[in-house]
Amino acid sequence: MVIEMIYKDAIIYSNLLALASIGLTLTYTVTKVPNFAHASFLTIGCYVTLTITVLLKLPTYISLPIAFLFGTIIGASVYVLVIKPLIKRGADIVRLMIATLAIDIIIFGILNIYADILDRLGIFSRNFLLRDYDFKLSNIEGIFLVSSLLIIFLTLFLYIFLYKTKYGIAIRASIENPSLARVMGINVENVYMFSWSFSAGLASLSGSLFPLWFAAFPDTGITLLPPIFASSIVGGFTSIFGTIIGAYIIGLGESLLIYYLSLVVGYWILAYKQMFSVLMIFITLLLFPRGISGILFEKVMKKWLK
Amino acid sequence: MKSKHSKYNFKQIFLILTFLVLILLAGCAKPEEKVKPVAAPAAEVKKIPKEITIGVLLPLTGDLAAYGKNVREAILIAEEDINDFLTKLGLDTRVKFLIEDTETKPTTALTKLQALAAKGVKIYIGPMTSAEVRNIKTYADVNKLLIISPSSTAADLALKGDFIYRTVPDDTFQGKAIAKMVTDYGIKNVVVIHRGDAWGDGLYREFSKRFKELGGNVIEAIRYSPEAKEFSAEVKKLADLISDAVKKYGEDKVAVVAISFGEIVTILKQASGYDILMEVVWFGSDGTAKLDDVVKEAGKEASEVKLYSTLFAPTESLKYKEFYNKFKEKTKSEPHGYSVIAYDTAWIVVYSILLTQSTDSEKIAKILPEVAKSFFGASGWMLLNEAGDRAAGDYDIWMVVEEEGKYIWKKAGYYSSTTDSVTFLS
Repeated sequence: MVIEMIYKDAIIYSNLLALASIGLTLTYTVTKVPNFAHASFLTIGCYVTLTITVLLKLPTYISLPIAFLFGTIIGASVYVLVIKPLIKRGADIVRLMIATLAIDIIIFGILNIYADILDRLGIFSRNFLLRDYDFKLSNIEGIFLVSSLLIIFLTLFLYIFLYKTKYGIAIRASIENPSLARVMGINVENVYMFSWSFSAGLASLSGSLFPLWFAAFPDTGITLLPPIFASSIVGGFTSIFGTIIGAYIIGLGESLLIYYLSLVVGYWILAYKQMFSVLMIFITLLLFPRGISGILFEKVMKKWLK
Repeated sequence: MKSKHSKYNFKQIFLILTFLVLILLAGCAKPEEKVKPVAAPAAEVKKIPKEITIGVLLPLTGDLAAYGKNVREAILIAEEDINDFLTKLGLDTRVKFLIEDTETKPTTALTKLQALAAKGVKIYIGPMTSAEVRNIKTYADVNKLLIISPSSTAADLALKGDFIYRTVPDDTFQGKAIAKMVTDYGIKNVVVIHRGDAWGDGLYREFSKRFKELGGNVIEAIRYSPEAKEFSAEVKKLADLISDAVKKYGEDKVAVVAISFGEIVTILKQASGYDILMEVVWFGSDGTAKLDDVVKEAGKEASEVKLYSTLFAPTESLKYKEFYNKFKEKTKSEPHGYSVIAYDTAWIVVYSILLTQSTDSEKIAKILPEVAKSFFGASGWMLLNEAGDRAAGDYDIWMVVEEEGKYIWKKAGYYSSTTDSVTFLS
């Protein structure tokens, strides 16, 4: 099967965006904190893959579970050390947002230090691309298969986890009414920590795949922040499944839609394709404030989305 | 009863959006700052202070990190050599270069300049890119901060009477060099893919102007955002255009001209998904020449398309060899053309300070062209033109080849600006 490169590019980009955006929605839905450091968890995953593949010379795909685990540890640490104490002191949303911005700057600094250390070890650590380390299965790149399968698996897993398990019900209860959940004996703080930990793990997992197709830098996450937020907001900002759809709208839009649009309006539009994310945020908020989850699937997926 | 958590909070969304837009603007905007003079202009110094502080603004991270780090090494060597020289003169003055990272971002360059200016620093080497120089220009002019860039080449920054000097020839020279290189290679039709910033737009303009004069045909130019990390739409468009052109003119009469920085790695990798793009030759510029990123991360693709790239050529001399050997011994790597220029720039700044017995930026700005006129450094004669930019320069042509299983940059020829001619080595 031959898939034209632009479709492969668009699907891989959308898959990675979806993997990264789910976590942003999850932390916002559960703890009501829009995490501006979320995209930097993705960059951490990029450097885990670089370390595993180039420094330790281990098989590339081993980095996926390691990046996920590493991400969960970082996410849990951020919650325990920064977010939880701030919430306890009654910090409002602005303070929490600024705190996440500060975390983002700290992670960026640490990543730069780590990149310098790798440089000194003779490893090319900025603008690195690991496509040559990927496998191919009858002309289809490993990342295309793996990222697509991961999205399918994750969607199924999240559905079963959130709707068919006790812990999933506890999470939903904590989202709906934290006080009542506490009365019912649910440890809401544990649920909050889980959401931060799992979210960071997913972003890091997405990042671990990123350099297998795109060049990565310490600021990769920062540049991906607008499309990640756009995916989440277009998806409704409080709906995990809406976010996955939002990620495909943004991912496919930034590449395929802009390409086809350039055939009609001219090449000049290619230079402005990054505005697509921001434009979609504005359109969503002005016309469909509840995002994709509020329009297309409200009736069909009511049970899932609430 | 619905809890407050399940409600869609428009206020919160608005806040988030505001933050997001601010972040985006910080990344790509060119702030029209209300420029205020820095706190207190440093009092005119009657004699040289014990420590001469010179600011250095380099892209140590970001798209041009590889160049920035190479230049940093040259500046550190210059600091050592200049301080030895001052000791030999019997002076107890020492030169200190304060190196700051601009992250290859115009906004960060301005922030770092403001921070150093607040410390009283009045003379600067860098920044490296034209986009950064353009963004700091107004602030530097108003505050009389002397900016000497060793690598900014955008032609529209060649202005008389400002506080911006550039010790490298502007892109009218490089545009001619690339146009001549392409036509002498036998190519008459090109598709250009270029960065949408001061440097990319300027070099594209200079190249296409000269290329058309030489009888060439620019089929189309694809302009991309300098912030972009993914180029699927641009590369697909490039493949469409090249495919049509090859059908019309033949494979050996069509080429791609890529005016890019480090993002060329992703562009080449994405281009490798289209056979037609790997069948034609590619040309580059000083943004890609000798870039480690290319040979380390996209060496196979670059060697297939050659990626002939121009880079300012230091004049071969004993002085150059002496610097080259010192650099290689210290860093185990070769100096970049702009590193050689940065080394010389440090010297002409210090000579100007010694001559004027002052660190006043206005006095230095006045004397600098005279000092440069009589200075033959590791990069050659530093003569500046009326706009304060290097008056002329030749270019080496570099290409990517595979040798002993490794991808390397190899000199493929050179361009002489005096005779407007290209000589390919093989």
